[in-house]
Amino acid sequence: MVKQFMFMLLATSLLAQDQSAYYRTETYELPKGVNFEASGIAILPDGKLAVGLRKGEVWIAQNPSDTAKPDFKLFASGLHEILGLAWHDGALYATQRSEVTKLRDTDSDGKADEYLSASTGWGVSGAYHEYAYGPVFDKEGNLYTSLNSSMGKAWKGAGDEEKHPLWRGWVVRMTKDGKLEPFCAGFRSPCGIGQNAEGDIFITDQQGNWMPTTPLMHARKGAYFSHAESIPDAMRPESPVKIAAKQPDGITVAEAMKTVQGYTPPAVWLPYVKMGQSGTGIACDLSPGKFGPFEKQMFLGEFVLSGVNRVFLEKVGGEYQGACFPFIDGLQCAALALNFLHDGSLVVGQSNRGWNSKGNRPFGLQRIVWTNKTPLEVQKMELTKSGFRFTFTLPVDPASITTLTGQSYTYPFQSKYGGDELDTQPLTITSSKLSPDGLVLDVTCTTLRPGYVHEFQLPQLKSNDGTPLWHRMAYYTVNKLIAD
Amino acid sequence: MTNESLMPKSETMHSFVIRYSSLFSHSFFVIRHSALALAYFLLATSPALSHPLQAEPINHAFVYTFDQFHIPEDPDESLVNGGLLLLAELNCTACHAVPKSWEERLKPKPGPQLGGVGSRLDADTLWLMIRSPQSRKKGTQMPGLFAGAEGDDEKVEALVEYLSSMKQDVPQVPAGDVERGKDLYHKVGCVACHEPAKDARPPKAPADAEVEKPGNASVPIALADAYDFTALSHFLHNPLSVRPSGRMPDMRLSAQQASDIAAYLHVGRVAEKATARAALKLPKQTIEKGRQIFEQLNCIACHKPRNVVPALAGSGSSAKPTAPKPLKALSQDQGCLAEKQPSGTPRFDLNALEKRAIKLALALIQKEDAPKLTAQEKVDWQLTRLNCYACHDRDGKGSPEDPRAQYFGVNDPGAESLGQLAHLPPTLDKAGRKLTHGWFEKILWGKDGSVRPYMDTHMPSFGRDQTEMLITWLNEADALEKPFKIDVSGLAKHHRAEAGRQLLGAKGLACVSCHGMKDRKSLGPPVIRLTHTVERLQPEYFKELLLNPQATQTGTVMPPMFMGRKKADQEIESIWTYLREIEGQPLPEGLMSSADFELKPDAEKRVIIFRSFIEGVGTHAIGVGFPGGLNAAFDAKTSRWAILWKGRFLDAMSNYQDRSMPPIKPLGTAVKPMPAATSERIFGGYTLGKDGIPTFRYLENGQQIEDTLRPVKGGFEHIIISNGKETKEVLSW
Repeated sequence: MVKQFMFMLLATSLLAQDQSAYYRTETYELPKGVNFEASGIAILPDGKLAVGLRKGEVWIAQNPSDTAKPDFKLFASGLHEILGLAWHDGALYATQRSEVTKLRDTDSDGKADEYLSASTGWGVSGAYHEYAYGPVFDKEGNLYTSLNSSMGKAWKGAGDEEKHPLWRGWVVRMTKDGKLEPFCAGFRSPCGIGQNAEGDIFITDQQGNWMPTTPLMHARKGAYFSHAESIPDAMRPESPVKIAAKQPDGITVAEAMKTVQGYTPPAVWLPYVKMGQSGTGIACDLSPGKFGPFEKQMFLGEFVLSGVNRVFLEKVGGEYQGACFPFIDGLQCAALALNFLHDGSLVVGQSNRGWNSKGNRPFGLQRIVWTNKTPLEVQKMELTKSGFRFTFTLPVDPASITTLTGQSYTYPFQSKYGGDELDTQPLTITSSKLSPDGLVLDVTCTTLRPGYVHEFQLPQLKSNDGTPLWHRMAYYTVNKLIAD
Repeated sequence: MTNESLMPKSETMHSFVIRYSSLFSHSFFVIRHSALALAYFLLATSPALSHPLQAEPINHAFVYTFDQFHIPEDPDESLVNGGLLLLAELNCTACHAVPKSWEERLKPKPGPQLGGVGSRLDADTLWLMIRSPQSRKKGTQMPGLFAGAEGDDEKVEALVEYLSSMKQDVPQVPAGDVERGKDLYHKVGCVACHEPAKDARPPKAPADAEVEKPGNASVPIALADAYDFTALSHFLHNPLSVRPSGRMPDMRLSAQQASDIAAYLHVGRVAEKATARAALKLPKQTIEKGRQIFEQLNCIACHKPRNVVPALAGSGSSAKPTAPKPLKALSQDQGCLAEKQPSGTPRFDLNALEKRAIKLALALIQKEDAPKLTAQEKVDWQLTRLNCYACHDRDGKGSPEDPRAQYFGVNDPGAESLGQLAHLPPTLDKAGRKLTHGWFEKILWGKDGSVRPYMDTHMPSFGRDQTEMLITWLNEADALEKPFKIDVSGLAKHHRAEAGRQLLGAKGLACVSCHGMKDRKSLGPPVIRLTHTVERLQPEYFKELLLNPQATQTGTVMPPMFMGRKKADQEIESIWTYLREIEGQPLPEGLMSSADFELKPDAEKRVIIFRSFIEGVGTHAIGVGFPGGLNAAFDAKTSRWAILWKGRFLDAMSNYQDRSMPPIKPLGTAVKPMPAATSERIFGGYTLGKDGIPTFRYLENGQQIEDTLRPVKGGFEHIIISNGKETKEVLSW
């Protein structure tokens, strides 16, 4: 029996060691009796942690670095399904079904006494899936909200909007002078809205009709990202999106990039099941190295697999594209909202309501803390003229480099739900060369295809001190090739 | 029962015993004792002299399961197992070395911890117990070591000095209540091993019927007399701290319950005086001498020295005990096995059957290596050693005999309809594939493992050391060659908790008819609540049980709900998902109360603001509930009060729990629609006053408007401030 027990102990510790040696997951002690479905996370200028709940409350943790005693206090309540929270210019902004609400505590008693309307005017029909996410603010102070396309049964009580709720499947922005503007379109369930280090806005969406798998999309004025239900509103005169009234159904993404007017492909595809099933919140590591060797990279929540993925982006031909990598799994349940604390740890708000996930809790709040131990990992994966350049976090032992394998595939552009990988071909890898310092591996690949995900399985690399490569899979989405 | 009705146990009887024994010459010790035992037997059976718990006296080293499972008619091949049991349970193997192959099976158990024994037992009691254990404590498993040889009296006295010196602070205990103690004693499970009182009637026994007496001998309660009240209460509260073997398990009593039972056990107690000890007039012996004798006599073999006073520094190496013979070298007709035990060997007072059993066991051990036991045999062996069989049955063996079982009660009349299932501890059949490791830990030595609150009987704790191995053995013994397959990944489409909730609910499979959840009772009998199912049960067993309850758990009253259901697999998995996420989920229909999510301004004594889709208002509705029973809802789309109503406010279930967030209705009465706005307005939000009352803001024709409702006599006062000008009207309806 002892032997068996030891074996179990060993087995679990081995499994856990992979991840917890580098990143520790801490679980917050939450207010008793509150369904803490954490769906929005904002960090206050003094470092406190504000959490929005789906039930419509905002709580503020006075000591967010102490998960055992975070000291949560109720700040605001009575809102209608908060799915996003942000701090901007002296106030908290909570996105509800029909409004972004600016919350302020003007008498400093710890509770909001101002609930002002900061953005509203999009259509709400009462259908269950009309989620609203955000906000994010650009440098000019415009406020952006991503709106789920309408799914489910509309409600008679919604009035005119029962027939057609406006700007569903769009990102809209409220200008500083109070005008609601349509911004970009073609989203299905744009659950994540966030910014990279440069302040550009990115959106994650979720698999379904016109979405073969989770994409990460660069939201720009007038861009259109494939979900056809937002086309009718694009025909309105105030629409910045210029597309045809009808789009082809059943071609590939690679073909759509060539033939569909106005179609913008995602910067990165996160392959289905391999990288999860439903992308959610976005957070960018802006700390100078407090979260390990991935500064300025983006971290995406993953609903079904209850984890967090990592994305590296670069600009090729003036457009963002890049690679995604697995990062953390085994959270309590569906990761929904992400944000970094001042101490450099990543807070992940979680809720299983409405769908199921691998985690076994209905809701929760955890944070991911770098242990100060650097994993051997692909830090960057860049496209080169002749292939890819992998930059590692630690010098790689040349002896550990064996054969690299990989394949590339595209996805369907279709109204049907989801979609398989299409036109899969093995990558022809003709050479790989490690730099003398062991940090850079140049891989020559003769079959680069725009519109295709290029998936690599790296060998079981080791660093000079024997540390094995943490994650061996890497998925680079090539939209553009490097021009001569 | 009053104290007067009970004759104290005869002090004269005990002093007679001792006085008598001290007069005899050493060589007659054995014979004399047998005679005395007979005398004691005669005296003790006199009803006038006994506590109501006085069982038929035991005059041999008593091992409950040996007496329960073996009779003189047993053939050798069965009795030999009893012999092995005795070798282990009487701790013969603590001194007599065991051949390697037999070690695991014959592992001795830890004897009582003597740390603090000087605070638990007075010197006279220690003297009586050491001098002649079998006289002081009928049925004891402690051997007598003093046959009256030269110097024995001094040795005993020195040991008394030494043990008396081991003091320990004894914190206070609550005062006990005899009647409550009597009630507890009979219902929490003490009577599974100890004797029910002659004057206690089982709860269900007809008034005129004679109460049947147990057929199996009871474990004597001699210890209760030796301890004073405080020590006894402590012991009952935490027996494992003194007796880590768990043979007297921790009944998980509260401090108060322990004191109550202690008070009951002490009815009529008179502390014993060892008059013979005083008569010896021995010079005072030193503690150090006592310590040396303790080592010499190898008392340490059973009484592990964790709390025992260590040797004094510089006292020199004390005499080592002479090594006892290994089991292999023991003769079958000498020492304690001899027909007439020779003086100078440890005395156990084995009866004839025990001797025969031990001889058989010795013969086996001397002849061959231990046979390799199957997991099930190992389980059976440990259940026998710990006497789990006193309360549980497994594969047809064990469970309390009827005269004892009749005292096991229920505290919830609703459970009566479950019959035996509600009264008696559950069968252990298939337990190894039923419970999770974590739940076994809670049950066997941890906390909060009880899921049958309607049952009076407590599942005791036996301590981790005595039970942890059982978990692995049970797992192995009960494993199915082909376990049921269940997908608990939570990833399949039907794994949505809501699907499971529907099935459990009153309009689904109506599991809630019998099973409660969280703080809610079931709609019918109070069978196990499902709150901890996922922590408690292995998922494969959960499926096995649900697919065919009768075959899985013999005697269960659970109906085969999934018989013939095409999607049984998926349904069971979705129920599992729901139970896994139960903490934040709404309860199934039937258990849910309409008040679960109701917002109550009166109860909370504050204005409650609640945005949702509200009937009569629209998709941008902001409900405002005031204490006092007036409510209103503002439409943020048209910037106007849309409805007013009276009484109950709103149900927050939709926002708080529902995936689809359906529109909600005002719960109260007298819903009054308000007139539509006559102009274009732009909503600005609201601010809260110190009293929590919201003031709504909007632009009307470029003009900032502040709009407030305040409850006044007769309805709402409607206050509008526009361009610094305030207008008021009272809204009555």
